[in-house]
Amino acid sequence: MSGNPAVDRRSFLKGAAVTGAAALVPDAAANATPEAASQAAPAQGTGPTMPPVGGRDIDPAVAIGAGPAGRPGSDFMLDVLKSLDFEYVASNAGSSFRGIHESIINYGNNQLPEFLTCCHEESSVAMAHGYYKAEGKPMAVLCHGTVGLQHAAMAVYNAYCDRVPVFILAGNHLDAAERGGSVEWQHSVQDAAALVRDFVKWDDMPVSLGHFAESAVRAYKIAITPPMGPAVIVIDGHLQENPIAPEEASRLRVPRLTVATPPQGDSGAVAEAARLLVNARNPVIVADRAARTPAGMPLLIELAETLQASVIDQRGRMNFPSRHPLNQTVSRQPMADADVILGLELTSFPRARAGVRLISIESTALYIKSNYQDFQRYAEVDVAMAADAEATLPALIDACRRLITVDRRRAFAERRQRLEQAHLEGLAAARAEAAYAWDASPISTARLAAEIWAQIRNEDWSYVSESGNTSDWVFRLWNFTERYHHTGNSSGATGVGYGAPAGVGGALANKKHGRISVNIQSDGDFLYAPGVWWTAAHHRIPLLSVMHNNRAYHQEIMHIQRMASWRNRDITRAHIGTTIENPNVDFAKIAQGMGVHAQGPITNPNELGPAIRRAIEVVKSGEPSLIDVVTQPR
Amino acid sequence: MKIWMLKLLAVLVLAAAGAAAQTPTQTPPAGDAAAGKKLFVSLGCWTCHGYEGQGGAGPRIAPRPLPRAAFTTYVRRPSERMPNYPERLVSDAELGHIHAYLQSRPMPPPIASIPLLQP
Repeated sequence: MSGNPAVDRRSFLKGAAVTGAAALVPDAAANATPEAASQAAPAQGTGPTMPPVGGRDIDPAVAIGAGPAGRPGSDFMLDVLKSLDFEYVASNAGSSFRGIHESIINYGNNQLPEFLTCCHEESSVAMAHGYYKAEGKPMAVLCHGTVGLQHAAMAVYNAYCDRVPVFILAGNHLDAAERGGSVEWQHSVQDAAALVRDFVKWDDMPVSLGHFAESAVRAYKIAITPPMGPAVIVIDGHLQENPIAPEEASRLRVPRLTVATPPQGDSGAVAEAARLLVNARNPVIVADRAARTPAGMPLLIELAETLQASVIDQRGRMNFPSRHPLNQTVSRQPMADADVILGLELTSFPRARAGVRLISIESTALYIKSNYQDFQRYAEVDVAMAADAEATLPALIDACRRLITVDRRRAFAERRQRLEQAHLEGLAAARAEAAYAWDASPISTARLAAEIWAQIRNEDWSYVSESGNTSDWVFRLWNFTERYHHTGNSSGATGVGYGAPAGVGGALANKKHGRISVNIQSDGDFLYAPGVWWTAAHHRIPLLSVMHNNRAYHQEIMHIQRMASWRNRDITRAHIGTTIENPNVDFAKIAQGMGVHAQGPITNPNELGPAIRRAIEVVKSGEPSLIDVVTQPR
Repeated sequence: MKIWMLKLLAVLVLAAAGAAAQTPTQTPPAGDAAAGKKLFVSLGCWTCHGYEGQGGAGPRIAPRPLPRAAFTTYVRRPSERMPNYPERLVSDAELGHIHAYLQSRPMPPPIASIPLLQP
């Protein structure tokens, strides 16, 4: 609920029914500047006017004319949003949703949700994506149904592939007879959500406020039910702006949200999975998006310790402590000898030898679309549970416990000893490996990770994003123990441009908890929509960003090298179109220009530690800080 | 036998064959590390192995690369995802320079001397 006594939805509805045509908002003309008023005057009551020649948009004072008589529809829309408990709505302002924008900042007093000023719709959606992964609840996004949703599309696809709920409200003016100047036509569409329908979980285009209320609550419920995903509600501009008719107001109500319980695996399948796991010689648990809530990681620890089984964390979520003795992610050695593999919410099942028994628990089996191919290769599993992994773990743990005999317990203890030893050897090997190129310039990615860890290890920290590839040094050297220590791997669709906005979104979620949010920021990702640094500065979002600046789209260099080699052509030209140099980008200067405290470029590894210390002081004061570090390629 | 063991075995056999084909009088001259550094960069070796050969997308190859003959054999006929580098692109002598560059890279400092790498 809103938590704002000034905005009680039942009072609002009562008031709307009683006051009928009485104006709710102050007369726009009374508050307008003399200049705006003089422009507005001739237009009142004269219908649409021509837009200014060459203007990007119509003058709002001319187009709107006199204020509405009665409470606007968007006030009720906001009441519905408040019932869904959104903390924030991220948006790059647009005229097709000016009605609800105004309701948010005035009727809602810009609280719950608070309007976040974004500079690109891809940033808005990616911020919401990163926020969800840190906070565990959706953020709302407002955008044009046309040009805004087009900008947002890549980030929507990312969220879809990562099974992350984002609640998108897309503005549109459907009624052509009521549209204003030319831009309103260019910004209108028959079926706005068609653009992203292939990669959202659900969408609707309500034609009345009652329809909006029901569809908004339904969209939220669908979005947060595993497998989660983004949802789009198209909000008609006229529905937002027109006053609510008294007869309609008396019928309006906000539906109650009932969260669906996620499906648990069938009891027979759970029993068979338990039988395979308990009797396995070398069972391996592979987890990707397994830990959906704070309960997920303790449950996975419990299962692993019940079986004394290896865990390979694919890190789609914070599934398992990095230094737990059963965590074999760095070496992955147990995979080679596995005889049973349990996959929990995997993006794709790892290749396994013939004869290895495979068990899958994945909610994505319950909902899948055909056009975009993120569903990966078909896995020939032995036990397939179309169910939520986290919801199934308690039953699976119980089933395993019932089957464990004294002999098996003895075998488990021996296995635990072996795995513990392998884990310790893996940690030692990682530290030894990190020492190579320790003093090199460009700075090694191992040194980068070690220098950051030295400064945050005694703080309450959260690793909110990584763009680019730093050879997993963070996971090899840092000690991840809490759910919020990692918000999960970079993105679902592995598209460049997610890192910075997701980091800002994650940091926003962590702000109220006082955590130091850390983002390892690649150069290519930085350049996609750098306005997000301004958003971070403007909203005072404390985020430590340390750059992995290898001055290239490095993965692509290697692709071109291999292609040239395969075709027996010149491999030395692979830098063309793949590097970001000549001139080198001054990332610190860009960030400073956006109001972000920034240092660098740093090329001397001995200067990195002091720079991070300075940056953390800034972050502790509640501001974002960025360090440009010129690094080795990976 | 595991795939990686087969590949390793193939590399070692090829390396041995290459080494056997060379008589003691054919021992290649020592390479020029400075020239090797330039080649290491211009040929793009650094992209997978890092500027210091410390590894990244590809394995660590410095400061102790494969023996010279095995090194040459592998570069000509690599396994896994490494692109092959034929003689028209890089001569045996140039590979010798690269080999010398890799050998010239410093050994890492002792772990005990790096406080940041202590458990």
